[in-house]
Amino acid sequence: MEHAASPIETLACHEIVLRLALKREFVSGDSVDAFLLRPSDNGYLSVYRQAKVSLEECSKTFKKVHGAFSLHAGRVRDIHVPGCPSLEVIADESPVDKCPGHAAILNLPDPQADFERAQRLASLLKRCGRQLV
Amino acid sequence: MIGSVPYIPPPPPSFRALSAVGSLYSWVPTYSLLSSGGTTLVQASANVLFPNAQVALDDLFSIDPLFSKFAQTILLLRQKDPNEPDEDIAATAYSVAQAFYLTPMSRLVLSRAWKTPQVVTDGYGGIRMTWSENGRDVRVAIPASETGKSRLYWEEGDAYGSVSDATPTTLTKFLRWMTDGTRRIAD
Repeated sequence: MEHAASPIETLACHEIVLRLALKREFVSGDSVDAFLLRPSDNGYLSVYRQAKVSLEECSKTFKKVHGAFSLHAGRVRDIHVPGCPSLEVIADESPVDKCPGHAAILNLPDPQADFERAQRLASLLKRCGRQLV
Repeated sequence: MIGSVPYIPPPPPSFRALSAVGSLYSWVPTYSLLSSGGTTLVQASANVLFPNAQVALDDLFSIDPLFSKFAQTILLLRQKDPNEPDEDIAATAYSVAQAFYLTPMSRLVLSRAWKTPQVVTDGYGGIRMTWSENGRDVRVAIPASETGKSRLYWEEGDAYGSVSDATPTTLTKFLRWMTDGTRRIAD
C-alpha cells in the first residue's frame, strides 16, 4: 500500500486504532504474529483509525478479515524495549486507499534483522491491545 | 484412535535413550516428503543407528494423531494463501523440512505434555511456531533457506530472551520449561 507524503500527522494518544487480522492464525491462541512485520507491510504496521472507519466498514474492503485488535495510540507510544526507538502512530491516508482512516505504527524492527526485539515488541503490542470478536 | 483403541503416546524415553537420540539429531539429514494415493504422508528418512528412534519417528508421522495433524498443518503452509498479498510468499521446502527436523524430539520427550503449536508463514518463505502455556511463551522462527538459522524466543512476563541457533535439543529444553511451571529457565 502506498504511503502518503508529508505533512505527518501523529495521532492523539486517546485515539483508538484497529489492527486487522487478515490471516486466521493472527487471532489463534496466543500468537503475536499480527504484530510482526511481513514483506507486504513495507516497514510499517498498518492500522485503521476507529474514529474514521468502523471495523465492519473496513472489513468489507478486504477479501477476508478474521478478527481485529484495538489499541490506544498513547499506549503504543508507551511501549519501550531497550535498544529500540519509540513507536509512533501516524495518519497515513492516501486517495487510492479503498478503506479510509489508514494509519501506521512506525519503528517496529524487522523480524529478520532484529529477531528478539521484534518478538518482544509484538508481545507488548498484543498485551496493550484488546482482541475484538 | 486406531480402530477402537485409543492411541496412547509412548512414555518418555529414559535419560540414556534421550542422550542417544539427542546425539543422533546432531547429524540427522533433512526429511523427505512422500505422497501416496492422493494422501500426503510424511515419512522421516533418516540415517539412524538407533533402531528404536527410527520406529518412534515413523510412529510420530504415521500413527500419532496429534503429531501427524501438526505435520499436515505444516505441509499446508506450502500452499500460497490466496487472501495474502503477492509480496508474502508461502513456506519453502527447506523451512518445512526444518520444522520436521526440530519438532519430533520434543514430542517424544514431552509425550502427553506436548501441544500442537500455532503455525504460520512469515511471508518470507519461513515458518513461525508458537507455544504458550503457564504464562510462558516459546516461539521458533525458521528461515526460508539454509543461509539463515532457526531462532527461538522465550518469554515469561518481563523476562525474555532468545537463542540464535535453535536445535531439537534446545526446543525440547524450552518446551519442558514451558510445560513445567516449576522449572527455571536455567534448569
